[in-house]
Amino acid sequence: MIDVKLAGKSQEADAIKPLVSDAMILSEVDTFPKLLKSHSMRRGSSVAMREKDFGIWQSWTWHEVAEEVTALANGLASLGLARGDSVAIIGDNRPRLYWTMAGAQSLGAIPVPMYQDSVADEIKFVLDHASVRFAVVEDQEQVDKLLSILDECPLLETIIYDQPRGMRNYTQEYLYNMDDILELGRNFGRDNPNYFDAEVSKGKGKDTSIILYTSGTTGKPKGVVLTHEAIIQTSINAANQEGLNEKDECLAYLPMAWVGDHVLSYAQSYAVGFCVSCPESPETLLTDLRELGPTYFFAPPRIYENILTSVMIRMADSSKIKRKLFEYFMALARRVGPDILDNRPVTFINQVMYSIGNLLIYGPLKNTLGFSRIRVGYTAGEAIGPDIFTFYRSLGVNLKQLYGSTEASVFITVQPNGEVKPDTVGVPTPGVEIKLTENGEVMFRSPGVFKEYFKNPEETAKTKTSEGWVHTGDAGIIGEDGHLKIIDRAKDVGKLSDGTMFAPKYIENKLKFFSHIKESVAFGDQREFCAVIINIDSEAVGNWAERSGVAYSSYQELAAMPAVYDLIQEDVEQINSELAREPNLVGAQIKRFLLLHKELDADDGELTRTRKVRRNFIAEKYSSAIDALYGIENHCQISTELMFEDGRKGLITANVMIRDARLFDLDDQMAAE
Amino acid sequence: MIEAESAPIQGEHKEVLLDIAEVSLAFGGVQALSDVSFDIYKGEIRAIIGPNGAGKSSMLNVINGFYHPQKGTIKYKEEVRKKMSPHKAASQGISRTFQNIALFKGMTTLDNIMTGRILKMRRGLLWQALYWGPARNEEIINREIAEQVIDFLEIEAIRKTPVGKLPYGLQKRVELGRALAAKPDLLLLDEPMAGMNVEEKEDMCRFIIDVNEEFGTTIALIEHDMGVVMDLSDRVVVLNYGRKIADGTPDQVRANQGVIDAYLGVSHSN
Repeated sequence: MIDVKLAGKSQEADAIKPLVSDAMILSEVDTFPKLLKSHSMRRGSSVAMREKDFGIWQSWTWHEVAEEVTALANGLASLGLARGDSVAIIGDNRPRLYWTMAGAQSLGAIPVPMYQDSVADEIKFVLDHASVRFAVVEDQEQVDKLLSILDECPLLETIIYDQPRGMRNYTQEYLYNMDDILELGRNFGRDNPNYFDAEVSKGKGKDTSIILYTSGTTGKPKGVVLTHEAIIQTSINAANQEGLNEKDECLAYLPMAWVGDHVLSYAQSYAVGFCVSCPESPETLLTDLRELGPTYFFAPPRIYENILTSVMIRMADSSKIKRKLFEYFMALARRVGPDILDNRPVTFINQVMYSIGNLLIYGPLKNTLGFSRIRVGYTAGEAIGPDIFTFYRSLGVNLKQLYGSTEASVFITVQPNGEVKPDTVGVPTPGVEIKLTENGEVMFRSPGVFKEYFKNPEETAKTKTSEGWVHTGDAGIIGEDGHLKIIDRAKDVGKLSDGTMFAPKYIENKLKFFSHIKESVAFGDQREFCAVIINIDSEAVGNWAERSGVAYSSYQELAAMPAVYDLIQEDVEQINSELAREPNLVGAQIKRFLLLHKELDADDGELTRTRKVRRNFIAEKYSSAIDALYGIENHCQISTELMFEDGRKGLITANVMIRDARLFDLDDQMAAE
Repeated sequence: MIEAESAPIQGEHKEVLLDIAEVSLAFGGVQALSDVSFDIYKGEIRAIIGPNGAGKSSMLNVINGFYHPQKGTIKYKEEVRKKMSPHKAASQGISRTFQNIALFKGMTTLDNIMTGRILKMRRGLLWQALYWGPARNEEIINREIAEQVIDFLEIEAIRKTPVGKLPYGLQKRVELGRALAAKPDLLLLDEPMAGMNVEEKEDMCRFIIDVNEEFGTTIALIEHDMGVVMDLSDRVVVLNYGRKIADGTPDQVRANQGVIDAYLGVSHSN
C-alpha cells in the first residue's frame, strides 16, 4: 500500500452540535427506537413526517409517530415477532413502512427492506437468506408477488399489507390488514403497558439495526449488516458537517432498500429530528417536490438531468423576450453564480446583475422546481455531467457530490462548502479515513463500517481487513487539494504498456458529457496509447449540421464528414488538456480516434439493456477498427453485420477515417496556467 | 374510499333496480328500438351488445332520459318513470360516460371531476363566489369526494393537467371519474374501452370491476370487445335492428344461434 492517506476532521472539531450529543448517543440513546422516544418526549409536537394523501399533506408529530410505532410493534409482538427475527419490508416510501422499521427495531427484530420492483425470484432469495418470518408490504401487487413464491418460502408465516385496495377477495388467514395490526397492538398495549418500553431498553447500540441487500451485478445479492451505533454515528457526523438541524426537511422518494434513503430519510431524521415527507405517488414526485420545497435533497444525476431537460424544453417553447432574458441571465449565472455561492469575491457590477437575475429568473425558476429552500443537495451514484452540475450551482442551489457505499452507512467523502468542483467527490467526512492501494483502489475506515455480510464470512473477509479497512472496488486518485476522484471500477482499470494507469470509464464519461458525443469506447490496456471509438449524437450533430448548412442523408454520411471530425477533435483535445493536468493520467491521453459509422445498439449486443458499453464484445466485433487505430493508416475498412427488426441480417461496410489528436504535456498545462 | 350507497347483493334473490318493459323508440320513420324488455339487477354488471346500428346507444339514452320512448314503461327504483330529462336522471343517481369523450378540454382533471358533483351542491352561484360559511364547507366535502375518486383511479399525477393535453386512455379514465364523483347507483358506460390498447383496456377493466365490487355500483355498459364483455358482465342483452334477440349469462348468449347469426350473418339461399 502506498502512503496516500486522508482523514476527515476529527469529530470534536465542529461547532454545530445536533440535538443529541455524541456523549448521549453512546451511553443512553444508542438505538433508533430510543431516539424516537427521546424526540417524542422532548419535542413531541414538532412535525416528524408528512405524506400527501387525497391531495392534502397529512402530517404526524413525533409524539404521534411514537404512538403509531408502539402500536405497530405491539401488534407484531402479539403475532409472535421476537427478538432476532427479520421483517421484510417491500413498497414505495410510505410512512407506515418507515414506522414498521422502527417498530421491528423496538422489539429487537431486524428490518430487511427490499426493492419494490424486485421480481419474485429476487425476493425469494432474500426471504430465504435472511430467514424472514414476517413481511410487511405496501399493496396488492407486492402481496401477489409473495403469494406466488409462498410455497418455496416455508419460513414466511405472516404477510401484512398497508393498502387494502383490491384485497377484498383475499381470505388467507396469514394475510393481515395493517389497520387490524394497529388495533391488535393497541389492545396488546393496554394489557401489557410496560412490554414495549422494556423491549426498547433491551436494545443496544451494538445490535444489528438493519440488513440491506445490495444488488450484486455478479452473483447473488449480499446482505450488508449495519449496527445502530454505526449508522447513528455516521448520520450525526455528516449532519454536523452540513449543519443540518431539526428545522430541515427532506423528501423520501428513493427506494427504501437503498442505503441512501435509509440514512437520509430515516437515520438522519431520527438522529437530528428533521421532518421527512413522502410523495403522493412516484409519478407526482416533481409536483410534490415543488409544493414541499425541501431544504435537504438527494438525487442521482439522472433526476437532475431530467429536471434540466424539462426546463430547457419549456424555455425553447416560450416567447422570444423571455428566451433572450433567460439566455442572458443564465450566461451571467454560469460566469459568476458558482463564485457567489462559494463566497468568492465577485465584482460589484456582477453582484448587482446577479441580484437582478435572481429577481427575474433564478428565483422564480428555483421556485418552480422546488429548489428555493435547498441548503444541501447531494448527487451520487455515478458521474454527473459538468454542465448539469454547474447549471444548478450557478442558480444558487448548493449541489454537491457525495461518494458513499452501503458498507460505509453511506458517507465516505463529501464536497465541503466552498470547495465544490464538478469532477471530484470531495474529502472524507468527519471520522472517515481513506487510502489508496497500489493499484489505485479506494479503501476506507469509519465509525459507519458494516459489521459483516450476512451469513457470508468469505465475502466479509475479502472486503474488510482485520484493521477495519474496507475495499470499495472503486479506483480513485487523490488530488493535491486532497479531493478524491473516482475514475472507474478497480477491476476495469488497466495499464498502458509503459505502466501509466488507464481508466477507460473515466475517459468515456468525460467524452460523453459533450453534447455531440453519444457513446464512446476507450481502449488502451496493455497497449502503447489510448485510442477511442466514438459514436456521434445524431440529434445534436444533426442540429449543428442544420445550423451550419451542411447537407447529409444518413447517420453514416454525417459521421464520415471531415467537418464533424473537426468538431469532435476539439472535444477530444479538450479532454487531453484536462488529462494533462493530472500527473497520474497525463500519459493516458487520447492519441487516435475514429467516428463509428453506425450507432451502438443494445439489439446488436453492443450495449447492455441499461445502455452500458460492452467493451469486450465491441473489441471483438470491431477488431479491424482497433487494429487500424493502433496501425499507421489513416482510414480503415469496417464491415459489420446488423440485425433488422424482423430478424433478417444485413451487412454494412464503411471506410472510416482515423484522426490523430493533439497531446499535451504536463508542463504545457502548468505554463498555460 | 367512497362508501357504497348500495351494497352488492348476495345469493340468488336479486333486487331489480331498473326494469324496461316493451320500450319502442322511433325517429320519424326509423325504428330505433322495438318492444325491448329487460331488467338490470342491483349490483350487477349488465352488458348491452349488438352489431353497429342495433340501438345500443339509443337504449342508454332512453335510460338516462335523453330520448323519450313512444311506447313502453321504465321502472327505476320501484317507481314508474313519467316524463324524464337527463338532469332528473342524474339527480336520481344515474351517471354516464360517452362514446366520444365529452369532457371540458380546457379544464383540469380535478375541475372536470368536480363538475360531477354539481348536482349535489345546494348553494347558489353567489354563495360559491363568496366562498364563505356553508358554501365553503360544501366545497370542501365535494373536493374530498373528488380526491377519493382521483385516488381510486390513480390519476394523482394529472390532477392539475388540462384534460385536452392528456392521451386518449387517460381522458376516458377522467370521464369515468366524473361519473363516479356523483356517487351513482347506476353507472352507464358507453364503449368505455373503444380505441384503447390492451394495457389501457386491462386497467379500465380493473377499475370497472373495482367500482362494482367495492362500491356496489350497478353498471350497464356497451362494449364491442367481446372478450371484455364476456369476462366482465354478469348478464348480457343482445340487440339487433332495434330488437332484443337474446338475454342471459355470457355463456348462454355465446351459444345462442340468433346472436351468432346477427354477428356473422346468415346466408339467404332462396
